Amino acid sequence: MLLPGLFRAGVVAAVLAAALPAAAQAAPRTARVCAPHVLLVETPGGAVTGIVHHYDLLHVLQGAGHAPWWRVTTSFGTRGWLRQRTLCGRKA
Amino acid sequence: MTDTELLAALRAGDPGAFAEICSRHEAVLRRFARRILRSDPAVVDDVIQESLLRAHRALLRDDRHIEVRPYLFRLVRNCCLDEISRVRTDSVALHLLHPGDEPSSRDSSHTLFERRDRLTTTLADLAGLPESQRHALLRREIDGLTHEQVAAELGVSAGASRSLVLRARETLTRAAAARGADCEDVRADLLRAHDARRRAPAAALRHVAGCSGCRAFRSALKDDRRALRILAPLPLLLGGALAAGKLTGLLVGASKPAGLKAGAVATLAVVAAGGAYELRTRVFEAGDRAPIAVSGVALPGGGISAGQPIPAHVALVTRQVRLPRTGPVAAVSMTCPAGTRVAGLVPESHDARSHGFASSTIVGTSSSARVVFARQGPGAGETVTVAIVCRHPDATGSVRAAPVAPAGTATVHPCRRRAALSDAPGGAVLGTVTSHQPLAVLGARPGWLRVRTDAGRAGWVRARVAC
Repeated sequence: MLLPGLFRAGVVAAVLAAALPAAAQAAPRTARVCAPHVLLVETPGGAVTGIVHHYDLLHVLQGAGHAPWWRVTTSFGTRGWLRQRTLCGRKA
Repeated sequence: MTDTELLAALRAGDPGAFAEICSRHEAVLRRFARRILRSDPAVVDDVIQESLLRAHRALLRDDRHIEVRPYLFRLVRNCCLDEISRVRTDSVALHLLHPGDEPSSRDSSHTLFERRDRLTTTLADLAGLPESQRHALLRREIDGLTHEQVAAELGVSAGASRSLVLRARETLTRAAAARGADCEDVRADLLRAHDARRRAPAAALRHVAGCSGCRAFRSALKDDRRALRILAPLPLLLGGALAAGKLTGLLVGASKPAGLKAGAVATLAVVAAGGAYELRTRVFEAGDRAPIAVSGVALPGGGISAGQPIPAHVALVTRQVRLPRTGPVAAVSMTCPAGTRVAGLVPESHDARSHGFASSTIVGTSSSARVVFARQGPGAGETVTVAIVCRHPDATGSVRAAPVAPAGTATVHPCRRRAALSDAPGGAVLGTVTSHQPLAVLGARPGWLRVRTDAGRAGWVRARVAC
């Protein structure tokens, strides 16, 4: 049966995700904002997409170690990049 | 006891059996729901509760054989999709993959970008299907049931089951096609339909369902008409009041049409959307005095102070919003003037509640922005002002005030809403490029392009994301 490629890929990924054993699920990487307020940008050096405040919890999408810029998503859904030095309290 | 034995005990009248089933599977079901509803974990409890309620009713309905664990997973999956369908916003990010689950290979970032985008759209399309179609499709495709089995579950004929599956596929295919439609074309269709006071074409409406920018455009059209409708009785009201001799003071004000108009707009443009009350929208175009300090890459020199004239090609849209004390995440939509695109957010007060663009708002591409606020923080019940900068894109499509010239090289744009820019083919991700952003091609390798963005940043993107 012919499914659109997009749908097929989504279904396969959804099935795989459902089939993943619980033990294989790693906890999300999170970090908290340490500065009083931090601007999120679309890309380093790009337009501002949001503002987060001290102690806001963020999910880290890109970035590790001492990479200067990390890509995060906020609890309210905004995605953007911010400077790693504005974050603290990472946990695995 | 096995699940089957527990099910038999439940059907025999042992109320403790269902509690045992719940305690045995609830944790893993909760994790499963959390993965699908990542953008809104607060509703996971509700979804699990609803799923277990449905399970309790269904398990007791008759004596047919049921594999309990897969059945519970299916129920949770369907409840999650119902929830997504209910919320139905572009800001719902359906990350089935944990950020922490990224494979360690250097290629993972790009794959993750694409997979997230694909999953988000696919599951949103699935969530939008009528329940019977979705059920038939999922049971057929994921659970591998025959049409006869699906038909038995739905209480329809096997032919009807086939028809449901076909219609579901057709709807998904059309949704995918509608998503790829050009926003300008869709908006032209919406405008024509609005003007003719008829329903917009189905293809345009399908596109609107998945495009926040066009949805905001359509909402703005409706808001305009609603506001004008409210204005309609004004002469009658004025006439009545004048007859009563009670509006002498207002008559003085009425001799200043601009003041009266501003007052009317301020009073009437009260609409509720996304849990926040939008009190007043103001648009400042080139030459107008900026009411606040504005900064961003769309402004020459990086910004202007309050009171300075707004530069050419730039517009500022402000909106006063009253944040709810409780309830869902507050969100407002703000539409740029015609011909301009969203070029950035202007946080007017750094003390306000955390907020930002929904992920569906693409800088340089979207003509309207959806601004979402954090659930908690200062400002509850208070009025805050949100501001966005809009800018006419230049000939290359850039909304930066000083884009780096392509320097005679070929220019491409990302075909995807967002794609990763990395320091080497498959290397570390340096940043994000967005659709409509001009990328000057500096070189190529099989499967990869070396590009320079309009910000002057060089890096590599996958060749397949470039148009």
